[in-house]
Amino acid sequence: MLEFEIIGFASSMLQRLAVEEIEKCNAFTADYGLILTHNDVIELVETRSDSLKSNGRIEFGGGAVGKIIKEFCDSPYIYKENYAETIHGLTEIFYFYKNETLDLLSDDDLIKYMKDCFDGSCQGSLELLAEKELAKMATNLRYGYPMDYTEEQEEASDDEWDDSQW
Amino acid sequence: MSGMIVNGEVKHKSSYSNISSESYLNTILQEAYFSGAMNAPDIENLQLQCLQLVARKSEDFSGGNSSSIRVELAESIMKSILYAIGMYLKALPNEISAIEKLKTEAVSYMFSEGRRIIDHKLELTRKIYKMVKSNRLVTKNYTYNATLVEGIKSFFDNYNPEYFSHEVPASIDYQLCNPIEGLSGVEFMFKYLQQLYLENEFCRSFEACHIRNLLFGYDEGYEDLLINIFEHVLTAALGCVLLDRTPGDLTITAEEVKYLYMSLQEGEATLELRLYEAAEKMLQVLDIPAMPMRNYIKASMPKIIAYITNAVRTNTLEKTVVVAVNPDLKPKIRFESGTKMADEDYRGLVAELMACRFTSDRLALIRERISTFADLEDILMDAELEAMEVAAVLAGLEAVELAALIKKHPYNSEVEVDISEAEEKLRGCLRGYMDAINRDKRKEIIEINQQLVIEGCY
Repeated sequence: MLEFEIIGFASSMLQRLAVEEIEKCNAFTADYGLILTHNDVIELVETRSDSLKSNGRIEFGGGAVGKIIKEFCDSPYIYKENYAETIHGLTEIFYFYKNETLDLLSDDDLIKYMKDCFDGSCQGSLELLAEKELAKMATNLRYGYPMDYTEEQEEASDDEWDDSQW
Repeated sequence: MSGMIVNGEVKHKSSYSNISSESYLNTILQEAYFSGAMNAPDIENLQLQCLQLVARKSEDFSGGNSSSIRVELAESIMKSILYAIGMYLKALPNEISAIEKLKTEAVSYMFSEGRRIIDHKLELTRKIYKMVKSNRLVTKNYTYNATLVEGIKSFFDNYNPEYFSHEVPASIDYQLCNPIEGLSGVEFMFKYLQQLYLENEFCRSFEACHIRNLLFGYDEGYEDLLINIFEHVLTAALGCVLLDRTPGDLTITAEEVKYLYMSLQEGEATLELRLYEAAEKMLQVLDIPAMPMRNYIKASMPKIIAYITNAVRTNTLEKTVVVAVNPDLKPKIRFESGTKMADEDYRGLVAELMACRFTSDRLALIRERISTFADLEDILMDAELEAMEVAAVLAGLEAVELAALIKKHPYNSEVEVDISEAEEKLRGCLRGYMDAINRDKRKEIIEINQQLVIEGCY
């Protein structure tokens, strides 16, 4: 009781805050026909807590889940039946890649990038998003390249360099 | 009242002076809780406020860009907050005032007051660092110089009082006579520099050349050893006083050490008393009136007494009370390594040696093509020779060449450093060779080795 341990002490209070904040998002997503029940929200907060724990992170405010919901609610690949499940997946992916990108990206930038890929090249596939697009982006960042850097760009710049030698 | 009563025992402020500020808050809270001065809701309220402060600081740290941070970072920020609050509480007159403040003041207020105290302490630490640099000893001991110049400087470059105030981001390899225990952050650095200043000041009562001779007498390789200079100087000065001499030149002869050993056989209690008397006399002779210095020497005495008592008990006094040796007066043999062959030729020779099938061919090639010590040394490291082949090469060398090789590759060095695989192999071969030869030749090589000065190779 006398210890100042972050995890144990913080978790119950922070979870309550998170539930309140996520429930408030329903007002925003209702226009798209997407609503989370109280049970959905509690499960989502549990997923968030598990993801934070497994990635060795802690979140003090309501957190990034609200931001994910607001960013993704207008996606053509999200509808009533897969809404809760997709947000669960996106939450797990988000916290995993916060670590993988070495905290170099802000929450907003990472969520925006996820949304662009999800709606674009991944066509709504969480698997492609996590295993391909974000993995590639995280590797680029760790090696000091721009987020959307590709090997083709490297080859093109090599060719340019070779040509200039002649 | 300057203390508080806990479990029928009066706790005075001094009893907490060696507790790090990071742990101070917890110590006070525990005592307050068990004595009934604070209850569970009071403590929960404090914890909640601390958590809110961690949340705010974490947001500041990430520049508001990230709602989550790594747990280790959050824990570190929490420790830093506790450290700052601890600094504030420690500055109060006693524990009763500290508990009163914990009950009435907001955590954010105590934190900001603590930060102010940390900043002030950091300024004082900077000043004392300047003083230490100005009274620094002239010595070739690497650890002393590296710690004083680079190690401590990095503390001031990297110390972050806002988020990591409890950390000591510096390489402090030089150990003091009285190690600092329990403190962290700027408190540790302040105390370290304070003690180092006193050690320097004491050693400056003696000529730098006398300290050099003393350390050289302790070990010829003193420049690379992790030793405390003050400890050796103090022991030698006490030895001089015990011999009824002024401690000025720190010089004690081997005969005097033997005499000292005989005269210190009166039992441990008498020995301790004699050493304390010698310390008092030494302070008078050296004219050291300052209380901090007297107190520091007094605090160092138990350690010195333990060393000397143990040395008398085990008849190894000459290892503790050191006979000073002037390195300039030692006879020298100068050894020229010679000129290295051109890189291209050398590469060709290594390739040829590695391609040789028979040991006899390799040895013949080495005999034929190697003409300087510098090249021989390189070949022994680079040509991946078998241990048996290295032994055959060593057998063909003169005593002075073997002594030079041992000087450059000391197989019995007590200094632990990272060495390459090839170096380790060569040292192993040298050890094996020296063990195998007869005693007279070994003695001859060791004697030459001790007098050898190797000139640079080009």
